Amino acid sequence: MSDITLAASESAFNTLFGQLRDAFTESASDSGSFGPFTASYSVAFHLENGSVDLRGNNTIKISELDIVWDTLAVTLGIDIPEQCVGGWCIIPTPFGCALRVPKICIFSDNPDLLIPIDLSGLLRSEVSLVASLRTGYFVDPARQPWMDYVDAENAGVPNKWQLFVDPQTVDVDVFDIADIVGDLLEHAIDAAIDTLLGFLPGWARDLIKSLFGSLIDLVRDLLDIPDDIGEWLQDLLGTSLGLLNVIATAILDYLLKDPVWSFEDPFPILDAAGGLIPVKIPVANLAVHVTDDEMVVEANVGP
Amino acid sequence: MALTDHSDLYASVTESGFNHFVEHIMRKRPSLFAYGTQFVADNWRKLLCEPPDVAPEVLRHQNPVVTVEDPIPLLGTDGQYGLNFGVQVSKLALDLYPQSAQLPPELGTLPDQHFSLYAQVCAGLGCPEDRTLEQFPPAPVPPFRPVDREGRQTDPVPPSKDRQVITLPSDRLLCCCLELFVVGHFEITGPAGSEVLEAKLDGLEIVDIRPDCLEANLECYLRLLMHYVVLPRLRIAVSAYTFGLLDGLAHVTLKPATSVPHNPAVEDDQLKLYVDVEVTP
Repeated sequence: MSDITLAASESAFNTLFGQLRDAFTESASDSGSFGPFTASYSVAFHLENGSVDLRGNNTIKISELDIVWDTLAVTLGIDIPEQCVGGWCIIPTPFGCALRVPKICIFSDNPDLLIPIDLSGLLRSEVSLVASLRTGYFVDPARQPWMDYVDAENAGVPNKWQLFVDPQTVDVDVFDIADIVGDLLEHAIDAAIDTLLGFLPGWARDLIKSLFGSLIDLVRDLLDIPDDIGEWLQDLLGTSLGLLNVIATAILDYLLKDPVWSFEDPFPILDAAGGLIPVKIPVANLAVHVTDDEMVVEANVGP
Repeated sequence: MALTDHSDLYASVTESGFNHFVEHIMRKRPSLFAYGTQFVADNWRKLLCEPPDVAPEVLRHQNPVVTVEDPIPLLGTDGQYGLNFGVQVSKLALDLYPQSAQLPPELGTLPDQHFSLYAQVCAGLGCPEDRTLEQFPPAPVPPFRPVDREGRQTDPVPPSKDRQVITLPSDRLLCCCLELFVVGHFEITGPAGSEVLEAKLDGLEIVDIRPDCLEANLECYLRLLMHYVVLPRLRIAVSAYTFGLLDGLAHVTLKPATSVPHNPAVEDDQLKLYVDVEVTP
């Protein structure tokens, strides 16, 4: 039997998990170029829901952890091939054209269209993972060989026992995109075109739109948007812009990269007082295992 | 059956683990277990009845091995002379229910949910040699003589506050070691959120002291020493049993579980503690 036994119930684990989850926030931004268009995003998200299940095979499972997007703003930049109307000669002469219809070119800039889409609150993502627990022992590289535990504490380099969560499987369901996003995107494209042609009177905008057919269809062609806008957007954000990695990295870093629990070794049991050094107890053979009901940590008092 | 069937968190320490704890405390804070005059503190290796095994870091950081106390006054010298002394707890061993260590008949058998503590207490008085007595004569108390007509004594002794206590030198202590047995139990005390685990004394017995009145007086003194000095310094915060597991979680507080019959429990040669986690808004 080990000298020291600690156990935390599944309920306690969920309480701790809830505290960790509620303290988490993350924000990120990035951009990329994809042939005829560019895209950039700015995101901020926090976590909600989810539960921890302790499993008899020495693993824990975190299920249905929701990523709530407080900010998810995407800006699409589209470079549309230049289109010109007019310039035809209406009074030709032997010496050349005496009078031409004025030539108007549009889509001369790059990008021509900036389409901001604010998807905040319209998307929801979900993470589930299975992980095992393991212990580790950390010796600070800055700790000098001559240091005893008091010197190490004073220098801020004490040895530590650590408990890590090692992910075995991580499943990120990136986006559950609401149907409304399709309409939102079309409206955003239409509004961007109106802004682009804003210098023209209304009759001229209508003339140009009629001349070029549906500009929305043109933009959709340029963006290579299939019928399922949600799938396209999911692919753009998750894969092309690497937001999937942002989510996974942020959450895994927060929950898993750093030890979920660490404590000094030797462990302080009587504080320094009145010039007396603290009394610390060396901890040996720290081990952890998980059952269906609880996590059990065992250790011995070292020499 | 899970360890946390009746609480959120569970912590236990075995009897041997506890005794290892005590060994570390005795080695790393020896001044909690040894008391004596400055002279004894300065020469503890030579003078203490059982020189303790002191952790090297204690000496490296120049921590005291002996808590310095005033010399024992020689009664009737009006504070002029005092004696060196040293008192120490040199051995400690804990036995958690069920009983595995023999107790003196006066304490009976170890009750359920109790612990017993064996301690060896050594004490010694620095008894000066005869030649020292010649070096330090009695205070110049004037011989009995008639008072003057106004009732005043002539040649009065100076007030004691103006004099410094002279500790009569001695190069060793007259050591005597006693075996002490304590029976007690653990309680969780303190305000909610700041509970501490502390030991309470139920009985104390010194072995083989005669006459009985001397034993009773010594036991009384040692009981007070345990009650006022040793045990309060060995209280452990309940939160320490989580080894910092909940540090940094501002909305989590610990409270002793109330759904178990005994908390803390002393059984199976272990001290067990059941704690619930409470989330505050």
